[in-house]
Amino acid sequence: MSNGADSAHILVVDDDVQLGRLVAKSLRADGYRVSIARNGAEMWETLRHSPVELIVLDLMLPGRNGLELCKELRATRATPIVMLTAKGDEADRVLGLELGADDYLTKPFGSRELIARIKAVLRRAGPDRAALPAGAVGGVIEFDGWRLNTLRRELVDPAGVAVDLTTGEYDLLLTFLEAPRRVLSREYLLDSARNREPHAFDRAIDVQISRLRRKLRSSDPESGVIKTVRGAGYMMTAETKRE
Amino acid sequence: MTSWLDSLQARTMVALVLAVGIAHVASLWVHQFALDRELAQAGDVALAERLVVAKRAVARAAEPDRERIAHDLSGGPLDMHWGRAPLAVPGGARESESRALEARIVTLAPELAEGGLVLGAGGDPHTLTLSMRLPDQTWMNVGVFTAALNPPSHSGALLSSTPMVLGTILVSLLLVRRITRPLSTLANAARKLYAGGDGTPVPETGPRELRELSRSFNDMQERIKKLVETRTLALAAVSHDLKTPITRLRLRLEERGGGEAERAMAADLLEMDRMIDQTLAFIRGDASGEPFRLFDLTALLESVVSEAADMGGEASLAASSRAVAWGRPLQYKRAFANLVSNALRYGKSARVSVESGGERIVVLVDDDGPGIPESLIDKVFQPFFRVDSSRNLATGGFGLGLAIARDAILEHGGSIRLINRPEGGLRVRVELTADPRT
Repeated sequence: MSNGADSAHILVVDDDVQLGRLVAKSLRADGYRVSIARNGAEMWETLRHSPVELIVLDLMLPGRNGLELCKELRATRATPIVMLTAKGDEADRVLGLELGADDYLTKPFGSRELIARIKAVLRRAGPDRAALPAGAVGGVIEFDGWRLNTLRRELVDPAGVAVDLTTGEYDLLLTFLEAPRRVLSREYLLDSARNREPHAFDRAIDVQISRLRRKLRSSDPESGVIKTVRGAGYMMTAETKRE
Repeated sequence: MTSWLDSLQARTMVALVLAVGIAHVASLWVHQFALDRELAQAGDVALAERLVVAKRAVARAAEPDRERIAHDLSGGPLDMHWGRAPLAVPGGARESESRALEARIVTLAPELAEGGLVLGAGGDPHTLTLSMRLPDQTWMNVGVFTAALNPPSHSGALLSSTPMVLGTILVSLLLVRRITRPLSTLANAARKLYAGGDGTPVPETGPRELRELSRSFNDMQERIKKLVETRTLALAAVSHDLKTPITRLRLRLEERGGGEAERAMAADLLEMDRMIDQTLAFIRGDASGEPFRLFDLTALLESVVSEAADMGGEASLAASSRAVAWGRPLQYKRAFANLVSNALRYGKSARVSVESGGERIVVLVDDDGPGIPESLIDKVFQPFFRVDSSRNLATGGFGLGLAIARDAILEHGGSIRLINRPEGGLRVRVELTADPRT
């Protein structure tokens, strides 16, 4: 799994030097170019000297450095940010997302999850991301009366009832919503919406699809929101609208 | 002590009413007594003066005019006549009274006794007859209507002062209420503090002693709050800080590849992480500001069961229809995840079912384990309690899962019950509030 010569440059900002090195190591193993910063000053220094496609930012418990850095970053540039948080920090996490982070990972995470998140965020950001004005990313995707809040990873049905999704289902739905009315192959879906729990069995993508259909309450593979295209894969049939 | 007399307020009021009442009655009595004496004295003076005037006037007049003058001077309680002989007969039925009257008027007007004075009973029980000898040895006979001498003591004083006293008592009662109200406020605040209130300080008002009490209470409350906050923060910080080294360990393990030892270590790390999450959830009370909302309970349970099944557990869900509930979805998810993971850990399988009807939703989590001895069924909800410590340690777990689940469900006004199924295995029965709009 190499990203080749045009691989993205990722900046890891973490006050824990060892964790920063470990993260950098696994990202390099996957073909990314990685720089490490231990604090805000080093982060700005790196940003001044070389273009960065994505920032992995540890929120850190003592002080609110991570959140402040996130806010400062968003004030000046649209570089995608993946936050590292601890599970208990739901309030911090939501705040971080609202301050402009693109996604988050809860500690402890494995390298597979980390890379899957980074890939997804880079894919969503697209090549034109750097040209976008600050704050133009993230938010709510609407389809068929449903609303998916990508900041809070929250799905709400047309009646306003919150519908819980597993991580796998969320990733799958997001992949569909980013490519509406396009036939997506099993391989593509599996690669982009990979189950992030390293201890979990990789369920066949069909199982995930049928679970997602059940949650969306449109189980019919012929006429539902997610349509089966025989021999090719699946397709999201609904119109999507970003807010 | 009857219940209404149990409060400080009631007792103070009763003491006040009794004291004011007794003082009122006593002073009224003293007042009336003095007034009566005063009036009697005034009556005697008037009587003596009239008698002196009449005696002089009649004595100076010529004999043919005397009877007319005596008659003219009559009136009120006195009926006077002139005659040649005294009509009064000393002694008789009212001797002591007539002697007393004689003594009083003679003291006031010694002139009356000059020449001779006789008092005796009159023609009817209400009168006395008084005979005075004039200088020319004739007599003035006076009928004294004694009942009219002393005007009856009227009860106007009592009537007019009683409303005043009642008013005083009423005002005092209001004051007592004001004075004792801070005590009730304080009691309420203490109760709230115990029930985990927000620690709002009680106002330091009222009399000095109560102000001091309120201040001490506020100090104590503040100290307790700080202590709890510090300990919670310290525990959370420790739990939280463990997450970074666990992440490092996990990344290092991944570098080493997927041997059997590495897999076991990864499982240990996962277990540690779960224990930290449970501790964090327990000490933070879990809710951490999550708002109430409508959510699809069936979808939530599907997620819980899917995640458990993806981890290799034998978990399944049976839902007859979509159940919409009102509450904090994340808190519920954690609660049900705990119930399902307990079922898998101790009962080898987790069969979840949802039934919604009317106001309530019933969720059952059944397992195929040994169940729980009836005597321990209430104890298992206690934090850190273990049915069988050796087994529990071997399989990991912290004894917090059920406590967290129960707290979450009770906070939502639901109920949770453990039942040993007759056919074997444990059943957890959870009842929740359904969509309030239906």
